[in-house]
Amino acid sequence: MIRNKKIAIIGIIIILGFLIASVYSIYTISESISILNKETKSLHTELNEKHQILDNLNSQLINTQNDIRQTSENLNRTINELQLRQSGTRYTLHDPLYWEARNFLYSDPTNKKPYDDVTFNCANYAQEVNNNAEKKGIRCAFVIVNLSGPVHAIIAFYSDDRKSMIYFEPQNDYEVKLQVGKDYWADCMIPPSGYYYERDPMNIVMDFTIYW
Amino acid sequence: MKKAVMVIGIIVILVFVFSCYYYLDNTYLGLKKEKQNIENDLFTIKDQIVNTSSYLNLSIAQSEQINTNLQENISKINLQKIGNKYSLHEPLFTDVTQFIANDKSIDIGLEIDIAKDKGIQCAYVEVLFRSGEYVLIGFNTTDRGMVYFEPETDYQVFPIIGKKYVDCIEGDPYYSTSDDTITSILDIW
Repeated sequence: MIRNKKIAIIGIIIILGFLIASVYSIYTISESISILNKETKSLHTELNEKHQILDNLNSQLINTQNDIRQTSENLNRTINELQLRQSGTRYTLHDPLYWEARNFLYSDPTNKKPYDDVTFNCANYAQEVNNNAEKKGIRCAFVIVNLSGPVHAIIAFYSDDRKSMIYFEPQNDYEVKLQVGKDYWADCMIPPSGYYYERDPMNIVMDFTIYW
Repeated sequence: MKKAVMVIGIIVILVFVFSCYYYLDNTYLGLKKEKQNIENDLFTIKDQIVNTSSYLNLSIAQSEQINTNLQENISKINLQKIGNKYSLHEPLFTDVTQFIANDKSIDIGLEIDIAKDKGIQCAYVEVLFRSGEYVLIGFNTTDRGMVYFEPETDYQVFPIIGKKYVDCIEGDPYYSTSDDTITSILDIW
């Protein structure tokens, strides 16, 4: 009987000891689980934040690449445009001194070409002298002179030293003092001395227009 | 009887304790694995952030460079467009159509003056036919060659010697009452 009691008491002590150890382990594991839970939540939050940061970066990257694409297209367009513009000719012109204009006309061979009413008339003379002058950088005007008869074409310069327009007949390089109401050939033209033109009622200057 | 009840009670308590322990242990292991996975994901995503940031910075630098080049080109283009009646340049066709669209003058002389004041080289053009002539404004464009416009109507004209003038106009047609077959075209610059 005493022996049985001893066995029972030892058994109870062992079971109690085991129970206490188990409860302690359970408590320890619960604490660990609680700590792990907090850490896991914190990591989840951090992961979500990083995902957002990554999404923003990717969004910015896409926008930047679109900008690059658009700007590159614009750049190519401007390169082509610039090349086209630079391939064009630039003209630097100046208003000549009086004698510079005379010297130019003297060296220009247009007045030596034969006149033809159809193929090479006054307009052609004026055109050629005007274009030749501008090729040499001399600013030249094309002047339409309305006569009482046919229309006539001559050229003109703005003289930088005389500060006025000077007119010339391109068919003979004579200077012309255009005056409305006067006979173009007989009164307005300044031929070499001893030379004169006959009057003709069809040659009266009605008006004139200057085209630069 | 009492003994049996005690023994059963002890067994039940032991089973309960074991079950709790087993469940909590599994939960702990599961959480530990989840934490490991999240840490791995974080490591990967931090790497991606660094790479993406790097690539983004490069792209931003590239974009700024391209923009700088673009602005330089735009400045050069604007310089090319500058001019006056003593410094003229040959225009692009778009420059011409813009000028014609914005210019309200119908007088050829005035239109030429305005174009040349802007530095645009242009010509007084006589299109001659047997019974008369038309006067146009002409431009030698760098991209489309010679182009002609009527100063009164702003219609573009494509004059060809031997062709009737009315057939050379791009716009509402008008009808000539005389022979307007083109015999010559004079460009006076």
